[in-house]
Amino acid sequence: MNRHLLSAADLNRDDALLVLDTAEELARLADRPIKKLPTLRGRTVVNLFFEDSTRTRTSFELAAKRLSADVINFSAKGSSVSKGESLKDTALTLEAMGADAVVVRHSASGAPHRLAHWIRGSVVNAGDGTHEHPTQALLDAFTMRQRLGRVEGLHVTIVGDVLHSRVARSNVLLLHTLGAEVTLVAPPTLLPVGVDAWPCDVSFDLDAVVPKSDVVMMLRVQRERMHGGFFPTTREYSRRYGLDARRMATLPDDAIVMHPGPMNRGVEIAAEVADSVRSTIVEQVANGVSVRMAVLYLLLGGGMAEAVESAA
Amino acid sequence: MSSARPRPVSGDPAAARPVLDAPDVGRALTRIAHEIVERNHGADDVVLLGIPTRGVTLARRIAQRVEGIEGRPVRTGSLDVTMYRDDLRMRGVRPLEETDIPAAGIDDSVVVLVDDVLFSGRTVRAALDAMGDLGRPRAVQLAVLVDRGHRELPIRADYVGKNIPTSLRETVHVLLDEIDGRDSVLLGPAEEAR
Amino acid sequence: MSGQNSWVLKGVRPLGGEPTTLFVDDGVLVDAEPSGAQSFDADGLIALPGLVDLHTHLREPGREDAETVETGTLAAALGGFTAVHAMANTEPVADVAGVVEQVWRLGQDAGHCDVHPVGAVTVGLRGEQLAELGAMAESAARVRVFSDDGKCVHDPMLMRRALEYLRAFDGVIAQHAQDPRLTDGAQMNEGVQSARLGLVG
Repeated sequence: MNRHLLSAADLNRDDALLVLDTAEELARLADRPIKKLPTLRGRTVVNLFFEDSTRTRTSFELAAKRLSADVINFSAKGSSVSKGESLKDTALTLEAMGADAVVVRHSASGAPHRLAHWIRGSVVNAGDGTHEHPTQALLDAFTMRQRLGRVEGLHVTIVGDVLHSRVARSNVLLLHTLGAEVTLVAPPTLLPVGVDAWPCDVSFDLDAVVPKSDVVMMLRVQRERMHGGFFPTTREYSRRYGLDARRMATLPDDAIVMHPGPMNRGVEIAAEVADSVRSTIVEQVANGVSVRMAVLYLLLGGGMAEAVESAA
Repeated sequence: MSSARPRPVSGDPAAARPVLDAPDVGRALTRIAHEIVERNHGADDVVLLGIPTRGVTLARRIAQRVEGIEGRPVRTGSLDVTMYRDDLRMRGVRPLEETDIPAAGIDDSVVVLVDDVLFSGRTVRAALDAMGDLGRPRAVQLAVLVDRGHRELPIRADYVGKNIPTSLRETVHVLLDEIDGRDSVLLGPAEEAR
Repeated sequence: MSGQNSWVLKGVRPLGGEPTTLFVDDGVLVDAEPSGAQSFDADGLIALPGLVDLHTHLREPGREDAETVETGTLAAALGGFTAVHAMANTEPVADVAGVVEQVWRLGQDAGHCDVHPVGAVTVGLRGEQLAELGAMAESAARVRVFSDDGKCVHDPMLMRRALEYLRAFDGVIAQHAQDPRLTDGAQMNEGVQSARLGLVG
């Protein structure tokens, strides 16, 4: 594995499976009276969040603490300095503090990549702009494996605002690496130009794709997109691209419904779908901690940039 | 989950000298089983916890023998100590193995840790730490197939299949039928730095 | 089976070519004379395929005093048109599924020719927000042609979004290509005449 986790493309198939296998063992910790391991004792993990995200930050914080790392939450929101400079200044500060890992969330695509050039520790991308969110993709793959027993060969349909979604980008890359077949469904206005070159299929017709899906992943419709002219009205959006009970009824028997949260009930996903037995939304949150523990362990557990292959 | 990989015998296999053959391994395990039953006045309170990978296989074999003696199954499981190791920074991370604790837990039981080779004692130290997070056994004992010396911690085994004096440059390979296709203990020349 | 709509058209000139005889069996051209067909002397007449008008104003709903679907389609049929596209500048504007379905049904009920309602690109033809194009496309009217009629969709980003959005159901947009900023107060084509007359070009 690389020293950093900036993109789902940083993981080859063996790396990705190692993360999932490790997370599977770590998930069993949840059943123990003492849910803590001493593995990262004396290591410092900095949560550097330029964007509000209580759930992702909390998930990383819990993951680091369960591995006995020291955690610093560095909220860098609202800085008046221009972005490039402020990020570099922050990086130098963290470097001086001796951070072993920096978990970064930033509204600008590529910010973690820049950061990785400025500090010696490991950088974990916790979501950058409309680029990537690799640990979300890992926890999604973990959840699929937990529910359906495998990822390879699954038909995964990702529905919604692909254009602005870092979750979609990371999922397309990781699921392709793991051998799943991904189909993106969205209004053409919410698909990026050049999506034809991605390792996935594209469709505009949700009704045609749902019956062939093992997994349907609904993306959140951001409020600011609702008035951006990308689609006429939320009513038309949810009718054409939302998952309601009628569409859910056309899914194969074992198929599951995922959502990275937070949901807009009644827009991209109907309340009865979100609360149905097919929905994995609560499991995804729980699995997020296990997967992030695995990532931190594999990046930090060894010495700097140690090869995983040396294990036997 | 993860299956055990055959352990490669480094260097020239012919250079590795067998010190225990298959019947020797079987006799050692039978004796250990008897000793466990004798020391603990039966096996009702005993939980055998193997340390992956080969310790788990050895624990299962000892459990069969104890059951043969006592006529009752003995609780058996596995305990992965990877996350408790103190040498991760030096050696790099490794994949996790399965931890499988019997449903009744280990509180107030006599846990017998089972491993293939006792060397520095660091693995056993990690296992004692791991167990501390899982419960509070009444007593912990240690069974190993081979004790090769060179302890770095004040740890000793309660049950030993065979003491094999070695030099630090030598390597000890335990091969088990379930994993390696045959039972044998080999003493070989030093591996390259790992 | 022959019916009321079976004909022998004598002396007719297909697409203005040489005179010939055409056989129509229940509205469909056939090779041989159908039984029970009526004979019609079409000498001097030209046979054409049904014409399609891409831009009509049937005015209904809202301006029934000027035109209705009934009168407009009757005139169209008499002129050889078998399908007309009804523009969206009605009152209310044809920018929701309900209005386009109403126009389509009125056309069905009148029975003179096919009526394909044109859906508005933007709400109220105002050029500000996309109308529910998908809902109109999926309605009984199956709208595929969209236009803000005499109003230009002048916001380039909105036009881009509209064109992209239509890919989902193979729709097209008919644009009134007149930029409002370049033609503010314009009265005639800008040139020598407009300069001489003192009119805004």
